[in-house]
Amino acid sequence: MDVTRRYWGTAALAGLLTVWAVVLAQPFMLIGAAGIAAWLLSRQYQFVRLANQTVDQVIVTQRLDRTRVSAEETTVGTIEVDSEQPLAEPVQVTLSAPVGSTLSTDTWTIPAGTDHIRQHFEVTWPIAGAFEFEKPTLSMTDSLGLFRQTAPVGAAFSVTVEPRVPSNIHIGEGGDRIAAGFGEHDAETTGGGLTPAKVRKYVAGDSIRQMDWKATARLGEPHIREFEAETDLKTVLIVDHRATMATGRDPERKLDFAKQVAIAFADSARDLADPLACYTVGDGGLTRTFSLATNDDQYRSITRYLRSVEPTTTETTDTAEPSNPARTRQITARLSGTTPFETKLRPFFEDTEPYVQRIANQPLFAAVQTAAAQFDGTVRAVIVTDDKHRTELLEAVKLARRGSGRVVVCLTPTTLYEPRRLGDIETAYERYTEFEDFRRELAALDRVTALEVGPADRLAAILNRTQKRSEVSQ
Amino acid sequence: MTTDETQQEQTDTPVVHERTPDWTRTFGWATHTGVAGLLILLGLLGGLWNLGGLIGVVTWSGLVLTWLFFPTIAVVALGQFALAAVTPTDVALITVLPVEGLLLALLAVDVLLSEPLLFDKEGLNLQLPPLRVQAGLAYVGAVVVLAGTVLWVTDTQGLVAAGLTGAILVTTAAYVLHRSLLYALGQLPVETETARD
Repeated sequence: MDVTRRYWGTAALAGLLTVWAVVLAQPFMLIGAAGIAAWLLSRQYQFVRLANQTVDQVIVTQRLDRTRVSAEETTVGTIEVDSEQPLAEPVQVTLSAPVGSTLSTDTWTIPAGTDHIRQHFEVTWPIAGAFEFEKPTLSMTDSLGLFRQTAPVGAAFSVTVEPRVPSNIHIGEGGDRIAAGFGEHDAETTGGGLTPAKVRKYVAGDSIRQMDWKATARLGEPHIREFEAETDLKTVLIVDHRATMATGRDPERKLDFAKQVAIAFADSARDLADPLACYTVGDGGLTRTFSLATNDDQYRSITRYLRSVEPTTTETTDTAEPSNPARTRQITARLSGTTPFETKLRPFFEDTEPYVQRIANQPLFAAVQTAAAQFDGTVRAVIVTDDKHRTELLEAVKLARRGSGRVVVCLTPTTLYEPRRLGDIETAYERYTEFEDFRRELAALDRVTALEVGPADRLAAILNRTQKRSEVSQ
Repeated sequence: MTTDETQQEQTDTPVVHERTPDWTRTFGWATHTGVAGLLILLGLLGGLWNLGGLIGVVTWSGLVLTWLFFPTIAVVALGQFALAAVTPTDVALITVLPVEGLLLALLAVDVLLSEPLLFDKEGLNLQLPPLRVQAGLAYVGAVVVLAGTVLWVTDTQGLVAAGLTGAILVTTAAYVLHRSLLYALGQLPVETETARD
């Protein structure tokens, strides 16, 4: 129970009368002081009883329309106050919003004489996580404002806020989903493992301990048995979050899909205890670097960072890609220089800056170059990007597969993320075909897997519509 | 849930049972103690006239004005100082006691009747809440005990000891009430019993 300044004022008055009684030697003033003190005590007694009764007879129920919501969503809640008898004094009901949520209203004053009230409120959930609404608090004050008391009433309840993530993700090749992209991996070498790989003829230099005696006896000449090598597959994630990755509507932008794929690779690496590194690339170059490590903190940090990463903004308007030298040579060869127009045009196709130097300045290529310094042994580089910087990506992939490394390229086709493009299905299909050509070009490289990542429903819409049209024309 | 039910839920408003209209307010008497307080004030007029004559009557007028506009505790506090002002220094305690008693009766009326009463849920039966009666009895009991104790200690030990005794009694009672509420609401920390070997 808290007392107010008014209470202390009245108590001070009783004290003053007591002092005055002593100073003036007037005993009757002591009786006056005793009367005021008794009045305060009776008021306190009345408040104690009233507070007890109120807490006993009041039932406060709080609930939300949903207990599972998505981040940044707003839910409607209801608070209901029921009293067996009409309230003798006004009370205040206060909700305690969990940290990380915002309530439109958190306090209601229930007037005296009320026995039922129902109010609605809105809760906004900006961040994901598990939250708990604690018990509502009932605040009571006596009619003269001498005492205050708060007490929790009702029941607590919990809410789960799920992060806003894209749903219905398609990962595949040419419109076909891949069955499994993660899990245990074939090291493609033989060594000291437990899984038998093959039996082959003995050659000079093979260890006698590898000899397969049964095969040797059966085939009449020495054979040895080889086993699959057991190695840790180092996974290096290179995630592009440049401005071009912002295409699409939140939460179905290119980057939202890219993040989910990257997180899935990180989770797979954690499950298999594979060493994991991560590089994120913005318009200005590398934005964050996680060196190879296998500890839990590493996996957690990478996953947490990937969830929070947002597209960067580009400061320059020059988005021209460096042209491929082969393509440039082709065009230059066509310009014979016989006409004044061709003579004037020819210098524009001549390199003023070496191709390698121009590519090296591109953020994604530079990131792969930095990461490649760590490539030692069997490395799987996973590049998650879009199809906007094709020449740069092609060179980056070539760089990443150096040595015995394998590369997985997850591409977000721009045409699947532009809502207006889907209106013109033919154009969308043409753009998708261009993308598919590029993806195949990448996939044709040795030890490279190129996958498309996008919303399955949009991809299906493009492919189905075009398929129906071709059926009709036939 | 049907549409009608939904609409009813959306438009649900607080159900307020109106308090009983105070008939003194109907006549413009926005006082704090009503008729009982007026009768006590008339008694006070006699007492103060007896003690201070015309000055007593003037003082009484001030008390009436206070009674009309301020809570009862202000009237009682002012009454104490007025009593000290109009009472001759050599007067016996027994002469002042009736006026003192009337002042304290004002507080008793405040506890019992000052607040408007409530109708029950049907809005028919006017009830005197038992809680208010209990508080009134608690007030009278506390006054008797406190006043009796301080007067007895004054006679035996002197005024200073009486003042200290009264303060200790009141503080203890207030603390016990405070703890009893916390106990009833389950807000006291649970103390673990020490194991007895």
